[in-house]
Amino acid sequence: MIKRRIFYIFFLAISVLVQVLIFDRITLSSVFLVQYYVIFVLLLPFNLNKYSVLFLALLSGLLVDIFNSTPGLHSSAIVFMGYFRNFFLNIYSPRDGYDQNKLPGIQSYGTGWFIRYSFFLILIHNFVLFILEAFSLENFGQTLLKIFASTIATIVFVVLGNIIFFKRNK
Amino acid sequence: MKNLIRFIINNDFFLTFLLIQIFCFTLLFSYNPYHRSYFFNSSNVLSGIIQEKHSNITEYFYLKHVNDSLIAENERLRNQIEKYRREEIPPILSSGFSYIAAKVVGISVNKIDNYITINKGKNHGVYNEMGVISSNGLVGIVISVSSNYSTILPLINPQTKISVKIKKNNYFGSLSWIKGEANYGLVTEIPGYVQFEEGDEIVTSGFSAIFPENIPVGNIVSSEIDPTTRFHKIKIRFNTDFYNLHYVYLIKNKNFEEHNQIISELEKKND
Repeated sequence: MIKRRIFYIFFLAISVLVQVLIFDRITLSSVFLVQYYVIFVLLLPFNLNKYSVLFLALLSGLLVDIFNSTPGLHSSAIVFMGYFRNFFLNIYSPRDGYDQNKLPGIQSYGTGWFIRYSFFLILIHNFVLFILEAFSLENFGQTLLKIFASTIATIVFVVLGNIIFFKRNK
Repeated sequence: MKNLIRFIINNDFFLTFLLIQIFCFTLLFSYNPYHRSYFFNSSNVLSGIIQEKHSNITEYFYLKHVNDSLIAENERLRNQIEKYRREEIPPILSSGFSYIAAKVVGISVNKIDNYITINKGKNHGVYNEMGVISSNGLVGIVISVSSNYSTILPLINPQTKISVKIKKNNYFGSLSWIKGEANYGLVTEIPGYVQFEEGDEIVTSGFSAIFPENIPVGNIVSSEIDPTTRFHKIKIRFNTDFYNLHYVYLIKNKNFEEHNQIISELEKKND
């Protein structure tokens, strides 16, 4: 239990650092904005109670916000995602329920399941994030494009991150 | 009342979510970069130290580029010295401006609210509302200072407004950023009868205590006349390339206090 906690503290630190030091500085295109740090909330254990999920999501969002000088922006988006996490876990749950000892990652239920589970959550996150950031309906098409493009880019990197990070658990 | 209590007990998860969202939105909408809200800012100690460590590692990758720009700047400065020598201008009239060099440790370009973090703070003599330039041109204004780091509001932030002029004929206007297009800005408030051409230089007007006069800002790319106001809308390309910005200079105005004092006295009189 304690070991797992320490692991998640490191996991949070690394996810946030990868986000702010690598992905927030990549300037390949202005529509593919990878929001890698969502991997932390996606991979929290099944049996963690839903209130803890909300507060941990808030924590990760605040950390990213501090680095970007955008207080409340990422926090709001990721808390939305944390709120809907259980809902999507229930929708895609296998017939006999989840194995509580496993993590909601690729190594437990496969890539297809993970992409289905994370797609809508990341979409919700990006929707809130980019709408709040633009805070106007001006250039709405551009904002929508950004939301979908970033969702796809984020999923690609979250899947890669998942494979690299949790290889041992297989 | 009973119903309300029952509602709260039954929906406590949703209410927790709502409370957190209210907290986030309060942060989001009460935040103003000009307030010195110290904690939620990239100049705070945590993010300052981490970003500096990171930039210490990555700066090696840019050494070649930085060298090139330093050589170019050296050349320009040498030429200037030569010019002064030849014309035998008496020791330059004290302009009242001096410079502090600083390294960029954090920068965002693709967001809507972009900021730059640098590795100089109060301990090095940085104060709020200092002007910031690069070796190529204008960069922005200092808006938040901690003891060792500062945050800059760059040209590529919708809140930035800077007074500029066309170098050729001295007509002045106001510069803002074209949202989403890094490296491009919009100059407004220049009357429709003013003549200029593509490629003409835009420089600072020198009306504020923040920037000296004639610091290059950008070059005119295109322009159109706003049919309702008959004023020009001029699109310019910034001289500073924000995608490739590693070192900046902070402008220290020795007469900053005096200038502000006069302006505040004037404002008092007008009230």
